[in-house]
Amino acid sequence: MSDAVISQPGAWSRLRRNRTAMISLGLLVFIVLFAIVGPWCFDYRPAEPSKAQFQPPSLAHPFGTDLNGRDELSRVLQGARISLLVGLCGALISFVIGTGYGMVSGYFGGRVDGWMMRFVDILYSVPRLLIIIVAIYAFDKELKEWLSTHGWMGMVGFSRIALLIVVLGLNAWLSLARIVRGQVLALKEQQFILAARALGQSHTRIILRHLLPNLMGIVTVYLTLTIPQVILDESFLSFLGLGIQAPQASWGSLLSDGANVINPVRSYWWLLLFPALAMSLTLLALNFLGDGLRDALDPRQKR
Amino acid sequence: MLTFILRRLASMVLVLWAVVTLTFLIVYVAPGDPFVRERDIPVEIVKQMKARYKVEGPMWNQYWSYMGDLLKGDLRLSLKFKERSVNQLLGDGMPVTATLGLAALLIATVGGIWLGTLAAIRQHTWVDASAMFGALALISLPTFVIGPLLILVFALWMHWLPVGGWTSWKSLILPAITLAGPYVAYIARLMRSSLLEVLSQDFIRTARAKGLSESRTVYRHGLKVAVLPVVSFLGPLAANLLTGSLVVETIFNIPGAGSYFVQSILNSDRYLMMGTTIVYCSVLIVLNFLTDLSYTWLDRRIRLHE
Repeated sequence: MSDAVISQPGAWSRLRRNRTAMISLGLLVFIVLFAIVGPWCFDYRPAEPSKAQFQPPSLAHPFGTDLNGRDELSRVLQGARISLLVGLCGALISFVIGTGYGMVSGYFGGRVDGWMMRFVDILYSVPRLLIIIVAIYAFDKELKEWLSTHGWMGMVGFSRIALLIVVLGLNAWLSLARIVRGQVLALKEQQFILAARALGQSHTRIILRHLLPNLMGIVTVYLTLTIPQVILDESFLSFLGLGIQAPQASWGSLLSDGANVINPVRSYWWLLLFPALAMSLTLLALNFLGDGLRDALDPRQKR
Repeated sequence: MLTFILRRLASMVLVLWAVVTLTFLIVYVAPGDPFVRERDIPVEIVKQMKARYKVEGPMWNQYWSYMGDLLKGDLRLSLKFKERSVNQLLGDGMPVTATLGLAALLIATVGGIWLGTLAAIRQHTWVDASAMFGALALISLPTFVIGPLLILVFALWMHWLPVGGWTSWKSLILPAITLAGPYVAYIARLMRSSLLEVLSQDFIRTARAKGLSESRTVYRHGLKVAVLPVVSFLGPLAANLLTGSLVVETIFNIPGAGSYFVQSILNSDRYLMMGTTIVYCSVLIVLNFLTDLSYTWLDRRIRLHE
């Protein structure tokens, strides 16, 4: 039996008519492509200090240089790679957990649903970032030691990034679980689920082959809105000195460096402006795209 | 109503216990002995210090003794701030953080409701479009960009307001605006969509049909219902403001509980860290409870009204 997917006629064409969303999509594609191929397009030296300290933007250094004479354009590009990686992977983790949890809760319903949702309610009332910070404090050294004793020396530099991804991802799935559960509650009353059950299909098969495809729309919307959230959380941690560590850079750590050197005599504005621009444009584009997708998939809510 | 309150109280205690236990476990498994220094300290002194700061014995004993102290309201001594207890430090810090948080809460709700209402009643005009674009831009700008920019403009160039610190009411303005910024935007978006939905409902059409003026319809009938989602957002908002104040206090150099928390992490000051986490969580859990309570109350009153 083939999978039953309720089609969403016209969603794509509705999205295409939304000019802000399309501009955002184009911008995002550009930023991601640039983050991937950028290092081959120009002189990419994010970690190489030079004597040219605090140079304002010029032809040699379009974004200027920082405290250690490093090329700010290279730094922003490295920041883009790390911030986007953390945002995307974190959001994917939250997608797997949130969707799985929500589907199981909604599909089985009754007492299972009651307990599972009560658990989500409880997690909601725990201040997320505090727990994230405490967890990073606790597991950072542990992970580094484990990596170096198990012959993964090369990975030690990335342990903080991996930890950030996991911890942020583990903390961003709650809203998604609630939304997916609500959708499943409505979906499972429909005829095609009943038919699948009457044909004797297993619960796993029904969940994976019949429910999941019908949820992809709403899940895509929330994935688009979770990525900026994770990027913001990461930059928040990096700003406090708990996220990405030097010599690596993320947009958050670059902004923190930029904010630290602000003073009335000489404003090194390029160290704040360019990372802020890169990060804000990305977040703005993701938020606009997410809003556009939501409008496109749910015409009732369209303004 | 009473069963609702009792059930919520029970779950509050449960959550708090879970948070305390979780924090304790994480701190316990965290590697690194707080009394290992570069210099060799005689074994007896280390032993003495461990006894003084109550970090000896197996995990269970430590857990029970910490829980016992906690029930007595004793959050123990800070490891970094010599001879000061966590209670004293938080007693100094919490009022500062609370003042900052309340000011930001006020700015965020008043500003957000005003902006959202304005956008909703001027729907499809440039006012609406620019308010919503501005809101999304504010959400996308982290506080640690807004903060330094505000300092640069209003403190360093204009000399109107202090750069940081906690001296007079003037030093409250910039941090409170910085902290409230994203949430003004968030509430404005919430308020706009909620008011638009309410204004399309039947009782508003009735109000208009019976000849009420437009402003009376919107402000007396529409807003009362439309503000409900904002009320239910107050709990999460308080949580976000509290954690947001970690960064804002760091930027503006404010001696609040948030900056103590950040320092305690960087210094591995375990009791200060646990104390701050526990106090923060208690505040949030109570605020969430109050939000839920007021929401049920408001919702019921409105339903009775109709």
